[in-house]
Amino acid sequence: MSVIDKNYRQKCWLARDEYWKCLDMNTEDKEKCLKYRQLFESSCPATWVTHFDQKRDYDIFKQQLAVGQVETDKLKSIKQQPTP
Amino acid sequence: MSIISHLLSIRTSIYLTRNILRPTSRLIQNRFVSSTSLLLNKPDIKSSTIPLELPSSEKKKAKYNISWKTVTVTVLGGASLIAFIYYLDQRKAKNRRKLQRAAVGKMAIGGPFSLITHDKKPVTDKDFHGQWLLIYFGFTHCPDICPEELEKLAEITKTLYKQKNKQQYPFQPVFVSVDPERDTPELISRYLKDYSSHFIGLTGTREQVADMCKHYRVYFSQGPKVGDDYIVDHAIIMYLINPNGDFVDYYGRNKSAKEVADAIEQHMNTFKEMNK
Repeated sequence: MSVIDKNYRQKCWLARDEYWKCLDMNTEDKEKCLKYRQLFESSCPATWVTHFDQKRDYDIFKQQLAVGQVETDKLKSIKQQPTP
Repeated sequence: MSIISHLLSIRTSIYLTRNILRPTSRLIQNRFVSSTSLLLNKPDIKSSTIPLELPSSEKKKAKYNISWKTVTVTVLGGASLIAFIYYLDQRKAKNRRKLQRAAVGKMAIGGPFSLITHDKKPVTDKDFHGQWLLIYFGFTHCPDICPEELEKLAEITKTLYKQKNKQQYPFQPVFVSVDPERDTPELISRYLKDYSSHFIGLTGTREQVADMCKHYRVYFSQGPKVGDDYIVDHAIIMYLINPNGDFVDYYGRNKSAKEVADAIEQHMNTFKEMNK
């Protein structure tokens, strides 16, 4: 199995979606979603897991930014970070 | 002196009368009688009234003739003028379009490339002349964005292929790999089968791929390795190239398949019009 295979990709995406759904229902409590996390990590390549984790963090941040829930300090620290 | 002037005035009036009333002989005879009576009775008073009448009758006839001709001439002249103005306007518009194209010139995106297809056939940009190309840069080990964009490209392709008969030039979707180290022709071939049989996949040496990406202003960068695996960060854009090999338009991630297909159809129509 590899990412070239469409079925493999879909299985990975499904596991990711299940994990994210669990996090949504448990207010991001990872302890309650360990079962899904394990399935997610075993269904996807390691680099994809990292990518999706970063993507979720970014999406959550974007959502909070939209409703103005981001703290000023956090924004400052982000702005001061040098551009890669 | 006075006698001479009288004689001249009488002669003049007779001459004018004859000239005007030439077709009818009766009137001529009457005029002769009246002119004779003038000589006998009061020549001064009556001779002065005759010149006043003649110019007015002449004017009336002149007006009648001129108005008829004038209307005809005016209408024809007006029509000709309008036609000429329209012709000038069309020519001006055409020249303006040409100048606009010439002035803009070629955009600084696009250019020559030399790669191999997923069928291991070497190709250059010239091999695709005479076709509309929609080029997407990605890689087979892409987590989510490339698959989504390629699904979109497949949908666009399906839409445009339905209208194949209406198109002057064929439409060709192209996938270019920005991960030449891993993406062999075989791998790309397997990968593209899941999306559309119409896709052409391109790859090459790192230098060849980098060269094309440079021309198309495509950002790509290999991310950190996790074991043997890595993800390539890259720009998510589709490029439209016309049958002359010139860059025409680009479509980002925010565009839907329908929006892109409609835009391309519009470009196809514009291109057809401009090359008549």
